[in-house]
Amino acid sequence: MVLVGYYEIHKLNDVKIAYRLEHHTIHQNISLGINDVVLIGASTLGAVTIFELAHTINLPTILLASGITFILSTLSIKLKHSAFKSIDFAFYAGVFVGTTSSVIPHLSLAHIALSGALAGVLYVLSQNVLIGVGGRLGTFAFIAVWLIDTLWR
Amino acid sequence: MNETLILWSTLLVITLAGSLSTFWLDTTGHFNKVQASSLTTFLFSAILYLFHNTIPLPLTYPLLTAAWFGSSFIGMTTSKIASYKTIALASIVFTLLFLTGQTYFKSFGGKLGLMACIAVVVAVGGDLVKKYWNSLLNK
Repeated sequence: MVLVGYYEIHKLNDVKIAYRLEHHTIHQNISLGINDVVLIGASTLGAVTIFELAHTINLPTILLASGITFILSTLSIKLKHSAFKSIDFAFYAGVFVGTTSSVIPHLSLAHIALSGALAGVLYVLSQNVLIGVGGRLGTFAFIAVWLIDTLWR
Repeated sequence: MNETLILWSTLLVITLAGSLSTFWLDTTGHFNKVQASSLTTFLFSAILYLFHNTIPLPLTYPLLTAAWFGSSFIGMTTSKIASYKTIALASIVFTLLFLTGQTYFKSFGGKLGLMACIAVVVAVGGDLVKKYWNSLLNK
C-alpha cells in the first residue's frame, strides 16, 4: 500500500513538475537563489527560536510553536516579494526541529541551528518531492535532526 | 483492557478531529496550510492548557497535544491527493503509528511529521487498492 500510495503521489507530482517546467517556475540548474537562502535562514530561525523559547518560557512547546507559527505565517502573507515565497513553510519545518527535546544527549543550540539549516536545505532541494503530502516538512526536520545527532556523536 | 480502550478511542477521536479540522480549514480557502495546522493546534492546546487542571483528562496533556499536532500535519495534505475519507483513513493509520512508535526516536523533532507522512502515503495507497478492488468486483 505504501508503494501504491507513493506511486500515485509521484504520478500527480510529475504533472505538477511538468507544468512548472513549462512555466519556468522551477530552477533547472543547481544554483542558490535569494529565495533559497531566505528559506534556509527561515528554517534555522524557526528551529533556534522555538528551542530557545521552549527552554526560557514556562509554557508547553507545542503551544508556543503553534502560536508563534500562526502569527508569523499570517504576517508573512503580506510579504509579496518573490524572495519570501514559501517562507512560512520553511519556518514551520524549522519549528519541528525546534520542538526537539533537550533530553537527547549531546544536544546544544548549535546542534539545533545546524539541524534547522539542514532541514531548510532539504526543503529547498526537495521542492518537487511528495508535493502536497501532509507531514512532508516534518519528515525533512526528522531527517535533519537524526542526521546531525548521528554525526555529532 | 478498559485503560487500553480509553487510550485508543481518545487518541482516535483526537487525531480524527485534528486532521479533519485542519483539512477543512485549508480547503475553505481562508487560511493556507501552515496557518490551518498552527491555528487548530494552538486553539486546542491553549484551551486544554487553560482547563487541564480543572477538567479530568483521560490522557496526559503532552500526549493529547502531540497527537493533535501530529494529526494536523495529515490535514495539510492537498485536496488533489486526498478526500475527507482518505484523511480519516490516514488518521487511523497515524493513531496506530503514534501508539506503537512511542519508544522509538523519543523527543526527536519531526517524528510526528514523519509518522503523518507515512500515514498519508499508506491511506492514498489503500484508497487506490480499494478502488481497484471495486472495479474488479464490478466487472
